[in-house]
Amino acid sequence: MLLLTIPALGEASQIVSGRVVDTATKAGIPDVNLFIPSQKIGVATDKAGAFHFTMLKDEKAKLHVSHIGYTSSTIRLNGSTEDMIIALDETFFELEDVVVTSTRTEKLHRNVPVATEVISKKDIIDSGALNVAELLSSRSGVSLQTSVDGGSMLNILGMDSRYILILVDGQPVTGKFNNRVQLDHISTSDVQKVEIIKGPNSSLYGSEAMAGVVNIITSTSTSDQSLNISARYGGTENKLTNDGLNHGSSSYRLGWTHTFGTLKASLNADMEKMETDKEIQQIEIDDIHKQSLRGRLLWLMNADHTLTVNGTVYNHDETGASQLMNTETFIDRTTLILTHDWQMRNGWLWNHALQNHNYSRNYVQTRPWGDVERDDITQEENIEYEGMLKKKFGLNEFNVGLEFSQAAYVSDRVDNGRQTVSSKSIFGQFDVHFWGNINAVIGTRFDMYNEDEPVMSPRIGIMYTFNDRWKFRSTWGKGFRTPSFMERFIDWDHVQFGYRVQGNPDLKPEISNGYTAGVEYYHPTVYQVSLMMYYTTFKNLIEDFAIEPALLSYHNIEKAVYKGLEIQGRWRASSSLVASWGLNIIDNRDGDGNIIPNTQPLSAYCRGSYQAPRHGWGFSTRVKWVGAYTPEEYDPDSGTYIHATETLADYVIIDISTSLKIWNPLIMNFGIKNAGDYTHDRYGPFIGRAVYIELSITLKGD
Amino acid sequence: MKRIIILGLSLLMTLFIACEDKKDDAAVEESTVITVTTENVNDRSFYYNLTIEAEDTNTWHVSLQNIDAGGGYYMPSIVLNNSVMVTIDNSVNFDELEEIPSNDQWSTDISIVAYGGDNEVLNYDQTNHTISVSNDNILIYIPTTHQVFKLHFDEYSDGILLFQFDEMTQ
Repeated sequence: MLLLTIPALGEASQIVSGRVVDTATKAGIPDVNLFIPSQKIGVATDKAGAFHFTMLKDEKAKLHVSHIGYTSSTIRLNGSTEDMIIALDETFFELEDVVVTSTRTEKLHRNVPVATEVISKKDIIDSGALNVAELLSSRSGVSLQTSVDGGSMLNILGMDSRYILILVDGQPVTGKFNNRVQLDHISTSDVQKVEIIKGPNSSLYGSEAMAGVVNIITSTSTSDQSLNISARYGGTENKLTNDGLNHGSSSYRLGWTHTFGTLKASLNADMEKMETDKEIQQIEIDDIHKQSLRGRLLWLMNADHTLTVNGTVYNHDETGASQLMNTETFIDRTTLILTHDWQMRNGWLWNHALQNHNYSRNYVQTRPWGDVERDDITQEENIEYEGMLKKKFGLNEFNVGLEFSQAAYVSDRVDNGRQTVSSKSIFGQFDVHFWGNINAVIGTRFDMYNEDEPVMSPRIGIMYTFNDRWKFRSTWGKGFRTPSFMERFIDWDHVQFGYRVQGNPDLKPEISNGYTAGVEYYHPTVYQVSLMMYYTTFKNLIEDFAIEPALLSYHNIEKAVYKGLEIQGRWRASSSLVASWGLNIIDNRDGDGNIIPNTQPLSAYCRGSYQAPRHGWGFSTRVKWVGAYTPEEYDPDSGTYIHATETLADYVIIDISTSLKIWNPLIMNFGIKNAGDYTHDRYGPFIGRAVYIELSITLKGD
Repeated sequence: MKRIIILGLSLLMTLFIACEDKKDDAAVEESTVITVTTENVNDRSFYYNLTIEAEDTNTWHVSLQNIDAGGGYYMPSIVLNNSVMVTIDNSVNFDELEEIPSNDQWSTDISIVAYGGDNEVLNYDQTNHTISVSNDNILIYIPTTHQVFKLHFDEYSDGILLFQFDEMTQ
């Protein structure tokens, strides 16, 4: 029971009791809030969904029933109030969910002024994706390319991951290779949901949030005690060795949570092994081992103070062997974040965090006869302190924050040894409501770097609520990205092809200026449709070019324009059958009006999911279609990337998955990915038809 | 008539047994395929004489060189000596290749296996910046010695090339 206020008992009182159940499964729903506003009486359901309390007799009283994940209901208490059965419909649209990314404060998804796309836990499970890179690539408007150096290059709405800020629990992922974040190191088993915001968001997040933000939010068990063990085996149909579904990956996961009084500890361990898989053979690697350990300690010091320690250790080891070369890549990541929340008595909340991120990558090439051809080390270290002060004034909210960070970078491919960049930033945002149906967020951020001119990034987002069903949203914002260490200082002689790449220390920060406008129609239980248009201009985009034959460098180009249209919808045909779909139209052009290579101008996806009521099994299928597009290739004569001579034909990727509850805590998932076995040797996708089976057992206790 | 039939059958049996013996001999014959690992072409060019089965910068038949690809770039390439003739035979696998092509199949255009040629051995992928090796069976005829060699290139890695070859006899 979360809250129980018993009024004075007497003849004027009456019992209110019963159960709250799921309309589809008839199962009791725990932790449902029941509240009678006129009498300020509230209670929450127990584990079986039951409730029992006493109220003052009042035939006009209304009982408000609410739960995140279910449609709220209001019942007039003018009849019998004992042994009531209240059925709630599950909301399939995640709009009752709380999102944090677009405003850095917790807001209900349907009430957030800046359009936010959410990939829910159910979507993640249905996708069958093993890591976040794979998960995102199944969406329309998103493509994933495997680089020849390993890892994945993400491309969202035609922008590669240099321009999309990637966060894990609100903190930037450090450790970039080839200037890009690789997301294949984040296992989906740890992920609760993913929030995606399109358009410039540097007003809150600073550098790199030029075209959008992806916030990967990790799982935290809501139970005091829980244990989850899961194991998965997957195989891919390997065209390279042509021996069927014999090779692939296996992964294991252990999640544990325990509460010791005011301390809550959780630990998640993941192991993944890929061997002779088509994806890695494409990059001449024989096997990959990944291990990660994520720990969290939450201490509720008292009613006002909370202290959290988060630590992550990640280790990645990949090897390849041939008759002429053995290769090994070792990647290590460690993260330590100390967070303190102070809820002051005057209503202000002070949240601050000190964090340290370390990344190292060692690439070793050795000849079978012992000669070491290359032993390349890249190391990156980030230390950051950030603090944010928030206060609510009725419906309105104000927050102001500051950040200090120092990043150090050492690489055998970078000239002048160790490089450091420090920055100081302040930001503020006012979330204000006008005339009852307009909600605006107005904010700006000021970043000062030791090597660049100060940058100011404002943003305004407005939502107009026409009625319960229709919402209009529009944002304008500026974004920026500071040039990377590699772009500034690389000094690398590509002996093999006789060219050299040298950095340009005079590069200016890239600047973006973007607008979005959208409309959303929302029916709480049947369907939801949203449409968003975006238009972003870029100044000083950084591109590589040839200074002279065989000498490459980077320079700022004048201008580029990215614009597009995104339509997404969900439809709940019945309590068991849900469908969702999306369509992206992208038109990205440089200053001369030429289409920017690798832009997939047209892509769409649809997903259907059936959950058998009371039988514990579900079925889901997803189809992604990518329209014909022109990829890019390197032209050694000009030293630039140009359109390939061949246009890539449109293609379809089909994924199928099922889940079966074998026994209450034991669930089996089985799926086929890329059922049509579509691959392309040069431009991807490289992974053909794959199957997987996963067993997961979760035990919970209070 | 009966004698003629018996004689004919005897001859056929003799021929059959002879062929069988020959096949057995071939089966026990040790493989003469030679595998060669080149020097690193980024350090120096590699020249190989197939007849003497050794490096020889004067009387070479096959070489690995960095050649000028234009625009200031250099690409590793197989270069054949212009004294040899070449043809491609992908009708069977390298190990099963036994039949020497007829005279009209040989070409003096040795550039077909070099960088940019129709059957270039080392192919540069401009998208991924990688070099892959062609799976062609390359046959070389040396007019001065009347020898025919079959070659197959297996792997290229950072300047070093691995190939195998064998002399073909009729």
